[in-house]
Amino acid sequence: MFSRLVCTVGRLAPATGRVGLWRPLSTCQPRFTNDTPQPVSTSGRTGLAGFLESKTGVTGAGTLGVGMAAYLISKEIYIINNETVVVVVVGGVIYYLLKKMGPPITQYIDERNQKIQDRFYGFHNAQIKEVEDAIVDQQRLDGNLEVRHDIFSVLRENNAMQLEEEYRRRWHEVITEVTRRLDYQLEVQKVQKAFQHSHVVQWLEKAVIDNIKGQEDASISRCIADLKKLAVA
Amino acid sequence: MSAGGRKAGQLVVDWARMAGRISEEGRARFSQLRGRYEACKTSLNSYPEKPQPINWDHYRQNIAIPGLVESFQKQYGGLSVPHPKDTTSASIDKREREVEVIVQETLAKSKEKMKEWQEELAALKAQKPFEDMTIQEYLEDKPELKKLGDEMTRKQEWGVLKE
Repeated sequence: MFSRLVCTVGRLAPATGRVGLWRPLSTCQPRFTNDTPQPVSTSGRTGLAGFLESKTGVTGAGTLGVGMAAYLISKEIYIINNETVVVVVVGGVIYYLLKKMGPPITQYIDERNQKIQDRFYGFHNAQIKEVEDAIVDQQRLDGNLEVRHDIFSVLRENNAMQLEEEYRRRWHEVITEVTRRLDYQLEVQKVQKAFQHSHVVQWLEKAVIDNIKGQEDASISRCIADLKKLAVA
Repeated sequence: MSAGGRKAGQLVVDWARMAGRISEEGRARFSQLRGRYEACKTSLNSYPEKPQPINWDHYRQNIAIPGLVESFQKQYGGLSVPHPKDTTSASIDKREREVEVIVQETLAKSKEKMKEWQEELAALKAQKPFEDMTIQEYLEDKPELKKLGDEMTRKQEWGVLKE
């Protein structure tokens, strides 16, 4: 926009005598315009300095200082003399010392402060932690008391198991006794039968032997004669 | 005697969870309890659950005495084994009631203690930060420390802490 303004000023220029000076050299945007951006203040000043900065911008304070100094010196309200040198030198030394020695001293004092604070707060926080731990522990112990239900159910279960075992043992005993008696009957029968069997066999043997007792020699001689007859044949 | 006594062997015990809740001193007795439980269980399982039926036919065929097997079978059929009397349930219940009373007392006491501790904690947390406190303010509710401080001052022990 301003480039066009420059061009129109150039056309009006002949009235002031500078004819060819403001002819536009190019149709691009010129490098230097009046539309420079204002400097943005990032210092974040508050109070009186902030008020000054909001009204006069970033350079306002500097302008005020330099302007005031120039006014004082030029109007000879403040006269430069030998004391001025002293003021400047002492001011410079003070400034230099603060700049150089300030931070280490601040740091040292802050460290000492921090140590003292840590000692106090360490104790305090340890106290708090102790009480909190005690509370947590007590809650845990209260929770542990719930185990009594489980313990009593185990005891009742033990009792029930013992009763059940006794019941089963009784049944087992009954069955054992009954089967024992029945088996005894079986065994008695078996023994009787075996005895009878062996008795009959013995009796039979005895009867047969008695039957042939008198005729032993006759039967043996007859057997020998038969054998001789067979041997011959 | 409750019918729950009949149903043995149906309890599922979470031993791990129980062990997590037993204190150090009770561990020996807890393992005793567990041992008793396991012993009862094994001896219970050594008997079969249902009584074995007797093979009457086999005996009837082989025993010559007439009527013996029938009379045995009749008597056996009419037999009913009584369940053993439950003598310890009552004592277990009594013990449980006693324990419940003790537990309630303990819980009440611990609640009181917890309340005290909560108050203490609140007081500690509500304390002014040390930067804003003077020594006198700090010693306001600590008479023993105040006395100790005064004693040390009187005896001129300044108690400078070594860094």
